[in-house]
Amino acid sequence: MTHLNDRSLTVGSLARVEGEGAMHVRVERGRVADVQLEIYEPPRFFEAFLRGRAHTEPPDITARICGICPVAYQMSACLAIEDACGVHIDRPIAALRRLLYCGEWISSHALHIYFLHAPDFLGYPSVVEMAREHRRVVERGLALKKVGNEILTTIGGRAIHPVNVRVGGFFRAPSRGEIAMLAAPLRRALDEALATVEWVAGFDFPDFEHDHELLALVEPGRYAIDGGQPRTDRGLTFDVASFEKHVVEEQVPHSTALHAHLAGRSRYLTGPLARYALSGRWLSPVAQEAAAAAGLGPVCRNPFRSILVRAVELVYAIDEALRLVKGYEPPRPSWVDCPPRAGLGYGATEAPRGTLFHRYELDADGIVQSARIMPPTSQNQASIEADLRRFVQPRLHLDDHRLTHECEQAIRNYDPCISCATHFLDLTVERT
Amino acid sequence: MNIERQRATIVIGVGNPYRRDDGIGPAVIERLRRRHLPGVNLAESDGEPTRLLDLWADADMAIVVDAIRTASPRPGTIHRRSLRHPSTPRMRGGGTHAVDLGDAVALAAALDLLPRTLLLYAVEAGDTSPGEGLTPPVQAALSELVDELVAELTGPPMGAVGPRSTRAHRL
Repeated sequence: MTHLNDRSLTVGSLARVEGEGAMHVRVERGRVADVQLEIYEPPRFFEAFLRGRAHTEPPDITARICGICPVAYQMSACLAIEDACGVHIDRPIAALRRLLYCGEWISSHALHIYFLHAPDFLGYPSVVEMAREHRRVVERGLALKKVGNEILTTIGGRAIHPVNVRVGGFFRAPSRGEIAMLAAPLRRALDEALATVEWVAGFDFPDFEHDHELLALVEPGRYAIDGGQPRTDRGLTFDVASFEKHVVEEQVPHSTALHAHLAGRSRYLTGPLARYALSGRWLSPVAQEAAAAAGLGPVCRNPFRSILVRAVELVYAIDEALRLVKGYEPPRPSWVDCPPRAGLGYGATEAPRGTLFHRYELDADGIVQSARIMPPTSQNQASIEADLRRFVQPRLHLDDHRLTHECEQAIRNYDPCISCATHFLDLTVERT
Repeated sequence: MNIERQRATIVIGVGNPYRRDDGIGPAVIERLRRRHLPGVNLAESDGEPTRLLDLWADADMAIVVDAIRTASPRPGTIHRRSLRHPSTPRMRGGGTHAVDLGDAVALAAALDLLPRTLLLYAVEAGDTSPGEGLTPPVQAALSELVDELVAELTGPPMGAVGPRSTRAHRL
């Protein structure tokens, strides 16, 4: 690997990415010829596994796809099945779902900001080394994450793979007292989240901008989390039911994941940058002020600054959780009956990493005939590869070790949940 | 987190039951639940380090049960070791871990969040592909491991590190 102009670099183990995969960069005569992300993707397995199951089962089963965002899977599954059954849930149930989802955003964003991404900016190989020198900062991250976990435990029954969620609502609605207990830790967390924005705003961000179309769910009047209509920053709007008509997936030889693009258009990006661009005006005042103080304009196209957008979303999720805690009315009953009927149902919500789409086909007994799950990371994969091609080219003078490290950091910008199930990304760079 | 009783000992089953042998941790927790051991908290985890820290932060003694992959696997082989030992090797679990267990221990050490006794029971996995159910050798190890843990949890206090049975190997 001594000839920098012709080489192949493999990232063997990309730590601090949720999942497993590999990245391969091929360099020919000093030009980046190809960048491939190879992704192992369990949702494909789960789609097959769901066939033949009762319509009440997908929220529990799909929650197992990801330890970091089980609520996202549960919520998209519930919306899709309720849609298939023609059931509308009541406002108090929807509010409790949104509060649960805020818990997942808080937990997931705190994990990514403090434990996976910040060490890159501060020059540490991992959070372990960072904790030795910035103990109080890491403790703040842990405290923030814990508040998210407390919401998940109070409403979901436990922090991983919540067991209290069911199609139509919740098995049991927490009492007013149980939910009120969340207020004090959330108030403390709000200060810690604001401090997080200030801390992250001080990082050095490489100059890098992408030009992808941005896609997120939009719910005019509030920042979309637990539902909304798909919309892009270039004027495309469509219903969740026609998601698969507008988002086209194709097989690429180097990955078990399908590559997504917008029909008749091009690749796109979903996730915090897209949400912020499309719904930033509906952030709560405290989150908007934090964004402005951190120097974020109305749109951010630098993926390295996604950590800053995540920090702003962390402020919002905590502020929104506080609002929901204050206005909590225990839903009675805690779920709506969802008798099965034959048909198709569609659901989409904003997972911490981006739009998560589910589609189920049920027969008259509610048996799942087919299932389709489109997670945000596979939707983003083509855009991540395109960004990496541009990112690697001006860095080809770096040795393999340094280039690998910088590629890892670039990939972490997207907080990829590469398999939602297992380890690391392997990266190779081939210079021929 | 699925803590059943808030006391000073916790057993944490790490793994994903939809990744075959990676489900040994949760399978052990399910078996231990039926034993109704007084004063022992039981929890499942995906192995994400900050969750492990939360789970064992208040415990005097924590036991982590996990699947491992080794260079020359002998599926079903049970290993027991102290994770407080400074030479804890970097080990890869079977399936669902964003950061390996060694990192979780190192992070806990940096933040003074290590329990006084922290043990790992690791079972060598044969198959961690998507799917349900343990492979026969790992299934066979399950009962033995549960008996071993019950002995560990109900026997005299264990500070020493070493195999408790002929089956458990030191890593």
